Amino acid sequence: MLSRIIVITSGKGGVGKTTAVAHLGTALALTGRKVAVIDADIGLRNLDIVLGLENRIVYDLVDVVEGTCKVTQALIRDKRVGNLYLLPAAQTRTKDAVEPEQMVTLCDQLREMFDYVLIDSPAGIERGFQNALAGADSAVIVTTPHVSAVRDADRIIGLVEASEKGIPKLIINRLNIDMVKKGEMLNQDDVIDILSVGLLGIIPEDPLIVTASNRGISVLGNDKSKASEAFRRIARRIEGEDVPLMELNENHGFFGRLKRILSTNITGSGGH
Amino acid sequence: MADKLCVVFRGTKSGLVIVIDDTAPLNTVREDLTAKLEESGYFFIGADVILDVGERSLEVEELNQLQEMIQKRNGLVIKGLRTRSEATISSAKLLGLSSAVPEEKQTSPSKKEIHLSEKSVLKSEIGSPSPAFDNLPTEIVRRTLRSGQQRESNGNLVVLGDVNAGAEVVAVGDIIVFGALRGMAFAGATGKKNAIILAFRLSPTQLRIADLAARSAGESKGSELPEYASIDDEGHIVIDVWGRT
Repeated sequence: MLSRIIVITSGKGGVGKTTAVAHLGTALALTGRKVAVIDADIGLRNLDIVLGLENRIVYDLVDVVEGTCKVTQALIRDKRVGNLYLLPAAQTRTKDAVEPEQMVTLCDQLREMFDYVLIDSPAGIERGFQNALAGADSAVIVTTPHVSAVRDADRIIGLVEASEKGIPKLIINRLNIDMVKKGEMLNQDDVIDILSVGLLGIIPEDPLIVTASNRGISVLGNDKSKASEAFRRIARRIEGEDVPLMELNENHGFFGRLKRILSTNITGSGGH
Repeated sequence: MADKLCVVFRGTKSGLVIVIDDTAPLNTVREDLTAKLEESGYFFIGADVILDVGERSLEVEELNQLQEMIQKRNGLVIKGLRTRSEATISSAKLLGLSSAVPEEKQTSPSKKEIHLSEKSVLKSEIGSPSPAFDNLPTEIVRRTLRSGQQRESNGNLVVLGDVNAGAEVVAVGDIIVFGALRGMAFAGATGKKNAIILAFRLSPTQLRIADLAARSAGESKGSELPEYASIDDEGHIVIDVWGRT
């Protein structure tokens, strides 16, 4: 079982940390766990939007560390999920407003109150990242199968390893299986070959994520979403369950399987 | 590290040029020179030095002092002086130093190889034998080097792991990677042209040996055997399969 305070970080921006925090937090909460998600991206907060909670922010992370309010006053309960709480970032401040030691104190407080605390790290390797990392017990690295993202992930893994938070685990996000098959995208083996860390899960490219994020809802309730099942499996792995990786080929359904069987029997020329 | 230092080290094809700003006070010069010599470590072992003092006029004692500061360091030898000051030229003469040193010729870099003059790269004097490699200490790094990490060695460097893209390894001697070299490797950093870079999988972003640099010519589908880079008789960096006779 992974430890309870987990920072989700990447180095590269835009690879899916916030989406992962929102969905994994929700998935864990739906199994009955009490979960807090912290937005550590001070000045550029997004976790509140993705969770659909931005209209309910009164106090934020900076208010808590500065002593303006108690942490219980700043935590926002997601009424749709029940066990899920958000500690939002401040939007009008910058990352200098918080010190790593303050994050450690805050996380120790939250450790007593929650089964899991997921910290949404900002991009980069500077103070924002260091703040996010400070209070965590362990780290999960999110990357996409792109050369630049993998390069940045490698950098971040080096920094995490040096910080003695253990060896991080990896989520490969936005894997486009068609592009991988055509040789236009790195596959998971390419990525793991370079990064040499354990794989926590793979999330396929899913257009439904964009719509959901914009609306502040999760895809977990949507059967048509390919990413939904991936997030659920990752949540189970976080809980310590040994879950196999999803089959990512297109056409899961009966006709899809039939089509694949037929096409492997057709030898030689022509047509489709 | 406040303003610009008044002492600059520059590696060129004819050796190390130490350029001393001709307007700074001599005390500052001595401080900066000491600092630069300290931080350069063993990088300039056995190098020939040209001392460029520009317009500055130096008395014999002042010049002698600078000479001693430089020469007591790892066998650096001042081969000559570059100056426009008459006084300094006479002081030099009294110390037995030549001061009629021609300016550097500008050479244009060839397409694949870049001649590094700004880095601390030295060419040893033509004709002098390079010390045997087994005299150099060998450092062993027992892990993969990740992007952004750097290791330097005053001798040979062995990495038991990968050197990922964005990582850098620099050695006075050879570099040997028991894994994939995907980053930047710089062997023979003080000018040893017979240094090699060897890896189980050689797919670096850039290789440098002595004063040459090279990048891979397109996508090499890695060979199953270890490969190594070295400078051949024609003075180019070439890659060969290791172990093949």
